Amino acid sequence: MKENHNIRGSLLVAVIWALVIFGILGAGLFSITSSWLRTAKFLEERVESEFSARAAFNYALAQINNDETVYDTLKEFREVKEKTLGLAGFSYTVTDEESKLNINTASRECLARLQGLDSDTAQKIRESTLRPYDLKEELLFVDGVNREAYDNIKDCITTQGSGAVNINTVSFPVMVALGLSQELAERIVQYRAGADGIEGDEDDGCFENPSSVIETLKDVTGLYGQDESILKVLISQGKLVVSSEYLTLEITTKMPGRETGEYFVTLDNGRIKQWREL
Amino acid sequence: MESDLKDLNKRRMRGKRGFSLIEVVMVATISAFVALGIGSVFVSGMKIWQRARGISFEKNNLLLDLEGISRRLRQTVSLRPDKIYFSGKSDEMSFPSLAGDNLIKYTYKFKPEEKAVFCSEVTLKEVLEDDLQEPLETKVLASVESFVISYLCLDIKTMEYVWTSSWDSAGADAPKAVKFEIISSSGSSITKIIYLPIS
Repeated sequence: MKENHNIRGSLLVAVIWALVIFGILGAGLFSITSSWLRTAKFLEERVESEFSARAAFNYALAQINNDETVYDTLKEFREVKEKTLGLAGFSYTVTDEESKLNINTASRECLARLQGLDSDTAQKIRESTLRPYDLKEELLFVDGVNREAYDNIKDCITTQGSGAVNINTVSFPVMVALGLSQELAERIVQYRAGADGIEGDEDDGCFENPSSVIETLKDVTGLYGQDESILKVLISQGKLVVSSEYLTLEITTKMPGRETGEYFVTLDNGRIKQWREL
Repeated sequence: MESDLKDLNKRRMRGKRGFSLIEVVMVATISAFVALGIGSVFVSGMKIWQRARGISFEKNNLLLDLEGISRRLRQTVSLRPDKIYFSGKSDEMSFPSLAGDNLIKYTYKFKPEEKAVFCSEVTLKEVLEDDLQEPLETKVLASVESFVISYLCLDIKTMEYVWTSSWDSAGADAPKAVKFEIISSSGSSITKIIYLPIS
């Protein structure tokens, strides 16, 4: 009986051996092919991501053309728009270049009022042979503009547009750079933010056309000192508008469960002016 | 005598008793699992092999390196003509692109004697100051037998897009697309077309 037990037990041993051998074979096969598969997957994802981003661009363009209001507000831009295309998808938000100061058209005084720039540097920016600048990154090649100064101002400058700013979206430092008083800039931001004090949501206040800006401000917050005359000059020069033409899309492309890419696409009249991938 | 024989038979039978039902079922189950395991490994192995067969290891590496070039190409920017502009021949191409905040002129050049494609980077400042000491070249594609670049442009006479072997826009515009035709040392060929978003 003891011998019999040993013989029958050997079947289990054989089965375990077979499992181990096939396991090792399987692991070997997996390790050889997994790197290939990873590359294949990466390349596939790149292509998918690029086309999703292009789709996002076309979709955004259609949305922008459908916009019926003559004015553009932060709410329209900051809202995250999402769309799914089969498995892939994208989401995007918009930043308008009219919320920034155009370094090609801004006067020396305006540039000098930006944080981290002084009058001399502003003059150098105006006199550089690189002007007109195609990209704001070119400022890094201007004498006197160091990395620190550039990092301070890079979010409030642009090279796009005619030099007009959209009063519905323009940021605080840009308003100050344009010559408005700090108090007025704060009040404009407060008015735009509405009752809850947060910009980019339902109860936002907005300026519907340039000619009513001064009246609206007088009614809502009051205008003091030089501010009214500065605003009048800006409006008469056409430098204060209520809509935006030059937009930058911040696109995130997605596959189920993960994000596959991030893009910054700057539009210029329906064409892509700049395309950046992260 | 007879009973002795019976006894002996009985003893023999006891020694060669068959398997019980439970044993048979267990063996059948275990072998079924093993067969299932082998089968699934085989099937998935076949699938993976089929998928990987088309792309050899070398080709894969080339494709990955090409992806790096395409990424820079897609991010090319349009600058004033006297700064940096897109220019290219069938074995050489240079264009401006942003790396982070840095504006760089990338030049890709195929050297047949070294069977490799080299890349050099020059910043805008160096271009403008004409401060062009031999820029450092790095090898980006290795074991390349032939490397041909062509550029998609609009033929104004026929209003059709055609591939040309050179591009010298002097700042006018970047081509619609760039096509790389590569034959690697082992003989496999790759064609990749990159559409430039800005044009």
